[in-house]
Amino acid sequence: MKVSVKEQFLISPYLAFFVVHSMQIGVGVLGFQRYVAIYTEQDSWITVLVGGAAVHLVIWMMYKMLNKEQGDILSIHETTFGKWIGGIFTFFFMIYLMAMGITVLRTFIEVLQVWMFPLMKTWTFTLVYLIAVYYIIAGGFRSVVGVCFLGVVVPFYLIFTFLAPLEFANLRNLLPVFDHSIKEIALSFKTMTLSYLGFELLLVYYPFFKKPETSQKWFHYGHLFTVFLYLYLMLITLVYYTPDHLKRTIWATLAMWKIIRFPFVERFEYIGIASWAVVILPNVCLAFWAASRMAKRLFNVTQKKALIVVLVITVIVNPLFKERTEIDLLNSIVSQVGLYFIYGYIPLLFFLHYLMSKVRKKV
Amino acid sequence: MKKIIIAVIVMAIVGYSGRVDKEILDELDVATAVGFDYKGKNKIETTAVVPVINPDKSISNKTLSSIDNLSKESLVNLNRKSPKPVVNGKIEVALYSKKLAEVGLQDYIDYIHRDPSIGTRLLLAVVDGNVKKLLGESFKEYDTGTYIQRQINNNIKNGLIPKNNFHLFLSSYYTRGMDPVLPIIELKDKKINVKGLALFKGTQMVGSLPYRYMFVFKALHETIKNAGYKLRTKEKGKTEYISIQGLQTKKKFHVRNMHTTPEITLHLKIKGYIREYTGEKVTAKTAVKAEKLMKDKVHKEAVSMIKDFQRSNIDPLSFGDQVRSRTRNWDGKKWEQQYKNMKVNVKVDVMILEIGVVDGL
Repeated sequence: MKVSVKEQFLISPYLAFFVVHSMQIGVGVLGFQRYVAIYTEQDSWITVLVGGAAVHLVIWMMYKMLNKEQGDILSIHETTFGKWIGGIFTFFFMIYLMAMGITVLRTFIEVLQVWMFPLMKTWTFTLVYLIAVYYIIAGGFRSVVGVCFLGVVVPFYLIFTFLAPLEFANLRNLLPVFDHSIKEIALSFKTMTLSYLGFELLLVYYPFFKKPETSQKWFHYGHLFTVFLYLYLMLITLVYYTPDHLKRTIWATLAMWKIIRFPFVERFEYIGIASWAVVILPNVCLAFWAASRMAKRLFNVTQKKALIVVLVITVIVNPLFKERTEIDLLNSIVSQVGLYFIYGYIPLLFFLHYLMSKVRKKV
Repeated sequence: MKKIIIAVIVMAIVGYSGRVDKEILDELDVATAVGFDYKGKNKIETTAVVPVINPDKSISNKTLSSIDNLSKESLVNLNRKSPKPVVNGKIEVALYSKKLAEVGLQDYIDYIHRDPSIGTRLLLAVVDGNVKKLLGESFKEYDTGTYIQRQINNNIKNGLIPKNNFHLFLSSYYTRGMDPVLPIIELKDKKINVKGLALFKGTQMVGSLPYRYMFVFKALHETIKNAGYKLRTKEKGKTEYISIQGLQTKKKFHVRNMHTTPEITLHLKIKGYIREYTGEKVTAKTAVKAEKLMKDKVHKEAVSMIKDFQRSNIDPLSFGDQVRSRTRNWDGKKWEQQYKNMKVNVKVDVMILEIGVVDGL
């Protein structure tokens, strides 16, 4: 079933590059190394590459489905499961999108509280941040994409700051290569996939591309750039930390900034964390935009009303997570769901959708 | 109108109850150095140095100290004794008394590691003597913390202290097959004197290396970019001294039989030039003689140093890491057994490149 969006709300296909990349890079980048290195230590960079390649395959599957359907996940569900059961699945997907936005925001606030302002209250930052988020999403999908673009371009300079730790790098840390079993790589592959999550939102914004089929190329490039960035960070982290040190470092990326010292800035991580507020802005905006968009399609309400409900829930839920363990739990639940979603549900849906569209055509 | 009212209400709420405590630089005591003294079992004395800038722009120091059993707790206690809040975002050196290092630094490192406001460029050092007394000393050009930091950094760059900061200390602590070292400093004639190196097993100091061996140690530990070395020889019954400067070193490891009984060959290359000679003449021959002298001396020192390390079962030269990075499925426990009796060959090459601008006398 084709979903048509008015011409003035469409975006150019090449913007897929920024949309996917900005959504994948979020709070996870600040500390993903540790979770991967627990299993594969100096070989973790291999996992980054393998995980990135596997995600390419899932992207290809999603595009196959969407190209056939010319719609979004709701219309795929409808074709595959019918209106009611499909609607229930879409509802769960909407909850997942919301949880994703909440997780990103809460985790970022945790970083702020640990690194900069231990006494800062959660709800005040949430409130102020969400006002900006509301303003952006109320401007429509095009302004959300604009923020995605800025969220990639503005903090781009941070890439170069990661060259500073190389002063104390020990290249021997990378040796010996391939010293881990397939099983260990598989285990770390699982945790690495979590860092790549965020591209599945394509299932929502696909109809917003002008000539959506042509955006696939840019989408793959965007993901490739994410892989490159993770690889770059992982290699630097591995030569900077020895494995046992890395396993104890919760935010390895942030801790690397601690080595940078300028005459005018005693510690760089304060600038880095502040810049990160711009990095996570597309994450939060896109997740909440997608959630409210799904609500609009499901319940036939206006998107602004749905959005306000989503934001109010966030303001209420966010301060409920108080300790590090709770936030960690939230993170692991959301990412587990995401993992099963992309490696379990999407291939299944791909298969079923293929069958059902054949069946329906015959009828 | 509705929007404006909502905006005002939100701003009022956030502005009233969402503020974070302000910290104005002039109203803080910014510590530049901390020191820890051993005061009995599980008790330490923490000393912090706070620079005070006087109206005439000269810098004087204020030291605060308190005794407690947790280092962080102790720092909080310092606040009780200070009219302004003490913050630790600019701490440049952390000093530990020798006694404390011999007991083990584990618990006192944790506080620096855990606190996000302390940078990893922080320098660590072991103090022979009373830390509180050393930090109480004031030096003219800089406040005590900055002074010690500059002196140690200068010695790292142009002297014989191995590259050292908090990150590197942690790195070598966490590396399997490597043990950390820290410089030992002392207060001598109201000046700070680099006395030698403290050798650690884990976070516990187990031995020390006097200053005269530090050249060879640094050469084996890393790459020297610029250092000096003194040779003593007897020529026709007269003692002569040769000073060799501008030394640059390079080292290479060769490991054989890593799976059975590892054997390491350390190849050390040294380049330098003669700067001073108390003998009769400096000629091309002197250079050859100095080369040979230096080669023998460095070789002898290196071999006996490595023997000592093996005997006390510490590995500051990261032999373990060298073997680990060349072996698949490296077994750390087996290595500990092997290390003590491992064969280490040292090869030294010395090249004296120049003899200065004067030939002959």
